[in-house]
This record gives sequence, structure tokens and C-alpha cells, in this order.
Amino acid sequence: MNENEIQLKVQALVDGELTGREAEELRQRIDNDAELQQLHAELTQMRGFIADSELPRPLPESSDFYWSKISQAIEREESAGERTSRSIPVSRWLLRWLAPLVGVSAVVLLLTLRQPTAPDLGIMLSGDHELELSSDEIDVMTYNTDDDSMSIVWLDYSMDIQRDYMELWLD
Amino acid sequence: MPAKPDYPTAEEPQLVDWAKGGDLQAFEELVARYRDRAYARAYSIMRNEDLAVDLSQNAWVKAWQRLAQFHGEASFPTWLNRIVTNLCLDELRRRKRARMDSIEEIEEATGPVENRMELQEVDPMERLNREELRERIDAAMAKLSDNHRTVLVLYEYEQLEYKLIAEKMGTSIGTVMSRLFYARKKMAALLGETLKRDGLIE
Repeated sequence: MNENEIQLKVQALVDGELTGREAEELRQRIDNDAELQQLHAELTQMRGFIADSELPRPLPESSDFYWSKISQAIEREESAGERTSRSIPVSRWLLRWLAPLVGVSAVVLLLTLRQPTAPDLGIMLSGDHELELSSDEIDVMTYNTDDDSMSIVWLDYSMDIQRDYMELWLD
Repeated sequence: MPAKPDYPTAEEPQLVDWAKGGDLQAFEELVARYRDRAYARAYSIMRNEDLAVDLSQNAWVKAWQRLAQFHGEASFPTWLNRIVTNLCLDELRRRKRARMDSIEEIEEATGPVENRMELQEVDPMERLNREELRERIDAAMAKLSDNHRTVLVLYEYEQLEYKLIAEKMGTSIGTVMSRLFYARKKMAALLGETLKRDGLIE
């Protein structure tokens, strides 16, 4: 244990933070060491001086003014609290109903803005969803599944049409 | 129609109960009784009148909001002063983030500045009456760094254990012990200086 550590231990003893065997061993050590005895006495004295030395201090402003600021702050906080509590059901309602709606709308809007108008590939969808192909430059593959009530249509068109499509998109 | 409560003569627990029920006048009476103590505690830590007024007022507002949490384990002024102290610690932390650590902390890290406490004998101190001594101690406390003064206030005035001080200050018990030790040494040196200057000691 170095000098600083032993000083802190002596202080802990004075402050009542050291108990039991450790405290007893330190007391014995202090009994046999004049310097530690002096340190112990000094710390005890200083503790006695400082404890209970907090000066009473009157407020530097009038008590009415002091209270008025407190009461105004309380009033402000309470009305803010009421506003918050009143707004909670509205915000919950918004979260529950409007948020999904806004989300879906945003996705639709995004897709609409990002998707250019599809070029006229000469494909007509009839009422019964049969594909009619009016161009020789486009190959079509379809896949139907009745189980999933789903149809997948694959379009394969030439580079010229792709270029036209790109130009249209860039316009 | 029930009679209006006689606030100025009411006992503290009764006032607290009324205030818990939303009686702002009862709370005003508590403020009237303990405002100086709350302000004094804030001033002990912050050493700035305006800040001490503001922080003690904030503490009263928080006390009003948290009255339901007060169950009378400690007295009302003790509970209130804990709130004051916590707000002061928050303020000190906020300020500390904005500036470099104090010279005292650097000294702590690099080793002791004074190897022995230069505390004088008891007798010269006893020539001062208690009030004079308190004023000298208060003046010496004002010269300590925020960390040293705070640890002394928490230990000596709040009477908190090392562990609780460490929690409140967000540091280790070892640092609390070290700060407390050097704060006391500094206090001893400052008190010695003032007594010498006034010719009370050689």
C-alpha cells in the first residue's frame, strides 16, 4: 500500500466507511505511526469544521417574485401536460389509420413517378385477359396457375424497342 | 362548506398531504418554509446567485410534479434538497462538457500538490466564534473547484456515503475518496491562510 492509498484509508476510517477487520488493522497501524496519528487527527478536525457549516442564505429576491415564477412554471408544465395527454388519442388514431394509408399512398406515388408510361408495344389485353400480339418483334411467354389465381407474362422485345422505351423514359 | 385550511400553522406532513392532493396553496406554504434552505444548498454548490435561484426554483417545480413519490422516508426539506443537489449536478455536468477539466483534476492525476495538510492547531480556530468560522469555511469552499466543492457538499451537508456520491457524480468510489481528500487538504490550506492573514496564527 503506497502513501496515497494509506491516506485515503485513514480518511475512510474517519468517515466511518471502513469497518470490521480492515478498520481494526488500520487502527493498530495508526497507533504505531506518529504521522498517521497526525493525519487522523487533522482529518477528524477538518470533518468537524466543515460538517454543519453550511451558511443559511436568504433569497436574493422577494419571496413573492420567487413564488410567482414557480407557480407560473407549474401552470405552464401542467397545461403542456394536458395538451400532450389530449393529443395522445389523436396521435394514436393517426398512427393506426392514417400512417398505413400514407405509406401505401407514398409507395403508389413513388411507383407512378418512377415508372414512365409504358411504350405502346402493340399488346392488347382483352376482357378475358388473353394476350393479343400485334408485333413480330416481341416474343411473349405466359404462365398461368389456377391454384394461385395468377398469370405471369414475359415480354421479350428487340433492342430498338428498348431504346425507344429508354428515350421515352428520359423525355 | 369546510373551513379553509390554516396553512401557516399546519404541520409539514399535513401540508405535504394537501399538496399531494393538488392544493397549490399548501405547496406555497412549503415553499415559504424551505425556500431559503433550497436556495442555500444550490448556492453552496454553484456559487452563483442567479443560477442558485433558477435551480432552486426548478427543484420546486420538480418537487410539485413528483410529490406522489415522496413517502416521508426523509423529511420534506431533505427530500427537496436532494432534488436541488441533483439539478445542480446536472448543471455542473452540462457545463463540464463545455470546458476543459479544472487544474485541480490535473493535479489529482499527476500527484499530490501538498504532502501534508497544513491545518493549524484547534486553539486558534476556537478563538473564532462558530459563526465566524462558518463564514471562513464558506469563503474557502467558494475557492474550491466544482468537483471538490461538490464532493464536500454531498458528503458533509447531504451526508451521503461514498458509494452514493460516486453514483451521483458518475464516477468511481476511488475518485470520490481522492477528491474528498484533496478537497479537505485544500480547505485546510485555505483556512490556514485566512487565519495567518488575520493574525490569528503565526
